[in-house]
Amino acid sequence: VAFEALYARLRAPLYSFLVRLSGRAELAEDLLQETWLRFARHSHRLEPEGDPRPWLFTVARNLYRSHRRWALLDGERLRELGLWSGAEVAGPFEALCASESERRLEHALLELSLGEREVLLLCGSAGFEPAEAATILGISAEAFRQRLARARGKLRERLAAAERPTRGTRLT
Amino acid sequence: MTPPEELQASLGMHDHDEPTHHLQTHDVDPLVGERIRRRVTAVLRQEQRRVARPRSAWISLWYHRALEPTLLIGLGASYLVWAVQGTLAILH
Repeated sequence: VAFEALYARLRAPLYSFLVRLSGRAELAEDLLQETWLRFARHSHRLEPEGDPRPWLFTVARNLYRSHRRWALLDGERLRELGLWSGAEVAGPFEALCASESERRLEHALLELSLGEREVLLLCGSAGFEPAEAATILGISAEAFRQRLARARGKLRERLAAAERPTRGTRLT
Repeated sequence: MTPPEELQASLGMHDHDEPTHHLQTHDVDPLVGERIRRRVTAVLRQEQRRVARPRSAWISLWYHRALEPTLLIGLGASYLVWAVQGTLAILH
């Protein structure tokens, strides 16, 4: 019964986190399943009264990091290699956005680096406190604060750029 | 001078106007969600059985190595005492 309630409460936030991290719905589904399977295998070691949320997000994030190490050419690396076409950037949630500003936000998030996306998603939509989020990422509170400030700045820049009329900023 | 936004950000404070707070939470496809739930429930049951097994094994070990010999020795000793006492009663 405890698992059912936990699964119902955390399935969607974890899935949203994974989709925005990876930019791919199918991959996020696989990683979501693996995250919950790991939870099942380690559940007897977790504190019964403790909050499993940070543990689940840590596992989800680590699974994506491991997957990424094995994936040879994901979007970010294509972009680093200059092979990325800006027109192809489309997050899985963009089609579901109710407004243009939401769509821009989803799009801008995908354009950030993985490290920047992680801090923004954990502190933003996942609702973690900075100290908890720093623990999930395995970095110090100070490093987390710096990364968060940098990520927020970049996101604002991307959003501002997206709101301006398109004037040849697209990468081709 | 540091603008308030940057100051807040550098202190790691929550800014509730942060755009990412307004991101919608989307759920996984219901069929996929149900498939994952079933698999995880099955694994949870397996794990519970696996974790419970050593306890029953320990109880069995304790019974065979300690309780059973103690009971046998106790019964044997009681019988011996009863037999000796009975023999002495007949002789006297």
